[in-house]
Amino acid sequence: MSLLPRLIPCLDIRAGKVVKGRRFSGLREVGDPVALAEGYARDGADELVLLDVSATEEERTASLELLAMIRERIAIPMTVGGGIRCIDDALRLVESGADKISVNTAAVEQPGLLTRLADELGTQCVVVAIDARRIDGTACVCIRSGTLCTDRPAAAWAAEAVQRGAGEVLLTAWDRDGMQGGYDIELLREVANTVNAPLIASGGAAGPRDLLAAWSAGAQGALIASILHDGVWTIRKLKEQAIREGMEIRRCS
Amino acid sequence: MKVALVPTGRSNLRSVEAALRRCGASPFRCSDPAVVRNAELVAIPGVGSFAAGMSGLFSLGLDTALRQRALDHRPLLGICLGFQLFCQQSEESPGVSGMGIVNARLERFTGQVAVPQMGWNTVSGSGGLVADGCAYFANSYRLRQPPMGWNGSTAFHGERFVAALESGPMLLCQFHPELSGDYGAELLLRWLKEASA
Repeated sequence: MSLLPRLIPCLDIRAGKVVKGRRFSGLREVGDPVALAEGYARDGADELVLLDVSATEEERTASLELLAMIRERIAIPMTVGGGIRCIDDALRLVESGADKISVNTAAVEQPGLLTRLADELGTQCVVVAIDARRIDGTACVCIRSGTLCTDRPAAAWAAEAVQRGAGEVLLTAWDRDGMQGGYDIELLREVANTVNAPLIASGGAAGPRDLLAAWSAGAQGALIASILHDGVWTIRKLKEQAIREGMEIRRCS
Repeated sequence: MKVALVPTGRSNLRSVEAALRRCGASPFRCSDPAVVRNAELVAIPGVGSFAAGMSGLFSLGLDTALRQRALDHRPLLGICLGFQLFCQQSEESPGVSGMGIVNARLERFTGQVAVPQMGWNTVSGSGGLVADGCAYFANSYRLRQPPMGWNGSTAFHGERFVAALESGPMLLCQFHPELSGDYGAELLLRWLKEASA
């Protein structure tokens, strides 16, 4: 017995609302962040990821207040990301209640940032978020909300990021985001075999089967969004099903 | 119930404050050694390295105040690094002395496990304040077994390790009760009750 697999709802937040799209675009509003966060936590979520997908500075300041409100109410870990460019951005989030901060574009553009963040906050606080898009079969890193593709293989970047100071890898398959067709299991297996840090699967969850597949591919955590927001599944039902399938997970009271 | 929160470097105080408030307590941030020495209840959260944590305490004279408190068995809650700083030493920061209240040296997890340990693990409770259940951990270093004089709780991550130590109103948690859902909230309530009795 060791660490239990984690089920992690992800809230993409824009202008004070939770939004969700497909392949990072066509965002539609799905609800109030505080109410959703509280509801998911109560229902048995093991952790929350909050991603600020705001366009403006004003929205970002408002997101800090929102984060503090959510922090006041929930007693599970929160990873917060979106638009972090420097140490001060990260510190503001930690001060407002983030337990871990997630860096994506800025980590690719200035890889030294991961090391500085780890020195300042400890590796357990630093998550590298990687968006991977398959180009001719190879999963390559893409940045700036998936709009700019690089030619770096995701697994190689994950290994470098961990070496530089990331304590966790949040791996999103861009092609599968919001599509509800299952995670990119092959990619998860590849990255899990490359890095020794905890790995979170993201992009494509449709039901319990996908969670089990991600966990058995070596991911410690499974991110879910669309199926929860749309009410297709609840966390409680997902967990009950996973337990029936023989998974050992944190039971909700 | 007022709880003095001792800052150790870049700790996420907000999560601990929120958790204590949900338990009906009134946390306040405090780095004045005299207040920390005499406050009714004291909590030491903490993330970051052993060396940075100790130098933060030392620079404000808080190590002496906390050490005195512990020697007097006054109510104390240490969380994660806030627990580790009470040990003698850590493999993380060779040559740096901790407060030495817990007679043990921290070492890095060994074996084929992900380090840092990040996530929910199953705790075998002490039979005291710490119950059986699931708690949230985020650590790379650990004590292998409870030292003499402490009532220990354990968990397993490639090997058995110390999840918490208790002695009267002193509770040292390797895990994060403030992030451990209802399990953690119930533990905080029990500690508050025990510590203010």
